[in-house]
Order: sequence, then C-alpha cells, then structure tokens
Amino acid sequence: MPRYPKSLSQRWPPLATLLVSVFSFIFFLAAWEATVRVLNIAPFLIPTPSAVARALYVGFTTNPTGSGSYLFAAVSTYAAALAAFALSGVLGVLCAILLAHSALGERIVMPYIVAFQTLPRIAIAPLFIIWFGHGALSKVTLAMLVAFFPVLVNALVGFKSTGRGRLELMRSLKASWAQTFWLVQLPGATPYIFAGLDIALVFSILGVIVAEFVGGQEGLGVLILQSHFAIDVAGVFSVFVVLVIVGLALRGLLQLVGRHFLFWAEAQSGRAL
Amino acid sequence: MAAALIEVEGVSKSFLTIGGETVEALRDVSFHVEAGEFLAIVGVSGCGKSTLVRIIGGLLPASAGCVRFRGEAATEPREDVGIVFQESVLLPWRTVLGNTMLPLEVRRRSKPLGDARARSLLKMVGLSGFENKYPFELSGGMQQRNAIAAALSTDPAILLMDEPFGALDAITREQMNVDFHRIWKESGKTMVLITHSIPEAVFLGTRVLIMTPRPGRIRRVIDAPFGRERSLDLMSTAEFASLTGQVRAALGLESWPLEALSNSAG
Repeated sequence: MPRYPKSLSQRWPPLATLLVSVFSFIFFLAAWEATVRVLNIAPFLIPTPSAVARALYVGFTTNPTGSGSYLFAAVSTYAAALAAFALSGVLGVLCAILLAHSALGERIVMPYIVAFQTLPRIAIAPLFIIWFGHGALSKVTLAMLVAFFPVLVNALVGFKSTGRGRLELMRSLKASWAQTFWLVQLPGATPYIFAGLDIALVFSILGVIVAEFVGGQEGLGVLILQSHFAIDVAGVFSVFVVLVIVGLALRGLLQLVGRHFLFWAEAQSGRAL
Repeated sequence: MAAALIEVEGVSKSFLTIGGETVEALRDVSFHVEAGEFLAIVGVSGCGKSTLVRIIGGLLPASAGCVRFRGEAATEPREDVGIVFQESVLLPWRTVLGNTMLPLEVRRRSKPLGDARARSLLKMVGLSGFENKYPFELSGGMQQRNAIAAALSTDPAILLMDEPFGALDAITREQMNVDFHRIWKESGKTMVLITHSIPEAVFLGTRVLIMTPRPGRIRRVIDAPFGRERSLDLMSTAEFASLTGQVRAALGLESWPLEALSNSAG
C-alpha cells in the first residue's frame, strides 16, 4: 500500500491542511498563467491554464454526444480500461492461485513470465492492431496484457507468503484445502493483491491510451493525437486534465474498497504481515 | 492394564539440514500421560521440545517410535487434541470472537452453538468484553488467551501447548499461570505444556518431565504433589523451592556460590 507522509496532517487540523493545498494550487495556476503571459510564450509551446480550461469547456459542451466530444472519448477509453482492469484482476489472481499450488506449474511457466516481463509490452501494440483490429478488442487485450502481470506477480507473492504458523494451525484442525484457502490464504494475500490492483489500474489506462495512439478510432488517446496534429497544445493539456482527474477518482475508489478489506494490515503495518 | 491416554514410545527424530548434515533432535523419548493430569515438559531452548509437541500433535512424523492415544497409534492431527502454538496464531482480519470460532468453523459445527460456546470460553480466559476487538488491539497476553480459547473451542480432551507464555513479560506470565491453572481445574482437560520456565513447570504441572538437549532425551520425571488447589503463595513455600531446585539440578544447572560470582566479576 502507498504511504502518505503523516507529519503535516498530524500537526495541522484537517481544514488547515486542505486550505493550504487549495491555495497553493491556485497560486501555482496563477503563477503559470502570469509567467506565460509576461514572457509572451507562444501558445503552441505552453498554453495558459485559462486556455486549457477553455479547451476543456469546449470539448465537453460542443455536441456532447457526438463522436468528437470529450465525454464520448472518455467513455470509450475508460470502458476499455475498466474492462481490461477487471479481466487482468480476475485472471491474475486465478493464475496466481494455480501457480502457488503447483510447484511444477510454476517451474514450467515462470521462465516465460519473467522473459515476457522484460519485453516492453507496449512494443506489441502494433501486432495487436493487426490481430484484433482498430476497435475496442485490441484496446482491451493490450491493456489487459500490460495490467495482468503486476496482479499475477503480487498475488503469487501474497499466496506464497502465508505464514508457516497459520498453515500449521489449519493442518492441526484438519482443514481441507479449500478451507485453508478461503479462511487463511486468500484473506492473507489481499494486501498483496490490492497492491497489484493499484498498479494494474494505472497500467490498464496506460495500455488503452497506447492502443489508441497506435491504431484507435476513438478515445482520449485519439483526441490527444488529433489535437497534436492540429498543434492545439491547449487541447492536449485539456485531455491530460481529464486523465488526471478520472485517474485520481478511480484510484481513490480502489483505495476506499481496499481500506474496507485491509484495515487489519494497516493497523499492524510495521509488524510483519 | 488399561492404556494411558497418551503413550509416547521410543520416539526419535532426526532432521537433515540444508548443509546435508543429520541433526538428532530427539532420541528414544518415552512417557505416558494419564487422563486429567497436567504434564509439564521443561528443558532449555533447542532440546527438541517443540519437535516433540509437533510429533504428539501429528504435525510431524517420528523417525522411529510411535505415539498412541488410548492405545491407538496416531500419525496425523486428531480432533480430540487442541494445540496452542508458541506464537499465538490469530488471524488479524478476524475478531477475537471470530478467531475463537475458527476451529468450529473448520469442523462445520453449528454457528449459534459455537457462538455461545466461544463467548463462554472467552469469559473463562478473561476476555469478555473484547469479543469484537481485533488481535492487533490486544496485548501479547490477551492474544495468547485468545489462542487458548480457540484451542478449547472444539472441546478437545487434550490440550498441547508449545511455550504459550514464552513471549510474555514475567509479571503477565505469573498472572497467566494462575489463570491457566484455574482453566485446567475448571475444564478437567489433560494438559501437556512445553516450557523453559522451571517455576512455571512446577507451579502448573502435576508431573514435571525434564529434557536435556542434543539429542533431546528425558533426564528425569518429578512429581509435583501440590494437589489441584494452587495459588501464587505456593511459589514462596520451601517445598516449592526444593522442587524447583531438584528440577534445576536435573537440568544440570549448577548453583553457583555468590562469592564465586563476585570473584569472577572483580
């Protein structure tokens, strides 16, 4: 789990901390705006925040249901990303379960996984366009392939790190394989699985954007390319804003879900899991 | 003659280390445990006590010899034996009550009955009011009480304990000893306790089995004839001191005269 520095929030009341964040952000935007205007930087190099905000507004309000709108593109991108995220999560955990319980399977499969991990998976993107076309299928499969490995590797470590004492306890109770798995191994591996999912979420969005760059017909990646070709840098930045805000929201959601399952791991972090 | 509740007959155990050497952990260990008695097994660290408890508990096969329960050979974990491990094995995502009920859940016992039983056991070990807390909210002593309640939940005839109080501070440990003596008295169970504390062994045990290390073997068995009613005052009596002295002597520990100590320090 990512850790946030606690010192500030420990010394300051929450409202003051929030105000500091908000005001420093406003100050940052103002300084940016002023710098670009005063130095007279060309808008196709660095746009002003106000130009980005304008592009954002135009992007969302002009023909909002049409295929060129930000809303349409965002739905297309995030639908593919979330599908890839869900698939990589389920497949990653399932494969980890299989590998954790089969020494032979792990011996056979692991070299390929390690080899495949050294390959920058984004390099396969053009191939996927040939195999799966320009639609959602190639986006989902590429993103899934990118997001799958962090889940698999983390979950595998999680399943294999079940304490000897816990396994011995279950053995002394004559627990079945399934009981040991559901009562001890799976809950014990959840901190690792969530750490993998945290990476997978970012990776699946990354995978979809790359697929859209390489050969997509719709989505935020396509919007970036279009703005890029039009030398509309403010447009490019405005898509970044969408990516950051939705990305933060999705991660926040995932951490909220994670906290529900992992209260015990956070409470005893510092001790061995 | 009827068979004893537990018979340990000529048990030996050797391990192969990673370096390929053979280490003899136990050699020809034999003893009986009678129903209802409290057997304390005392020895220094590394004398094979934990190995012995794992063999009795059916978690580890013996290299030679055998363990019989009521005359019947046992090679795997049994339902009538509860085990309390050295480090309290509690699942951190389960509440105190949930951990107490884990063995009942594994054996698919009825939930309402198990709930009632777990609550009464938690009361017996002094954890009532903590049912919905999590292990990380408990002190080390309370965690071990929780583990004891869990081991008792399936109502086993025998409780095997591998240094259950080893990680506790001396004051908490004495309190646990008094409480655990009461639990033994009230539950009427047969207890086998592994410990490296001589006073603990003499205070709790009706018999004390003394083991020596490398390879682990039984040096002596001493009766602790203090009856079933024991309080901490017992520890201050001359009889108690004389018995702990006998155990100490059997373990091969010298009683150094004070002058010798001050000389070597000077």
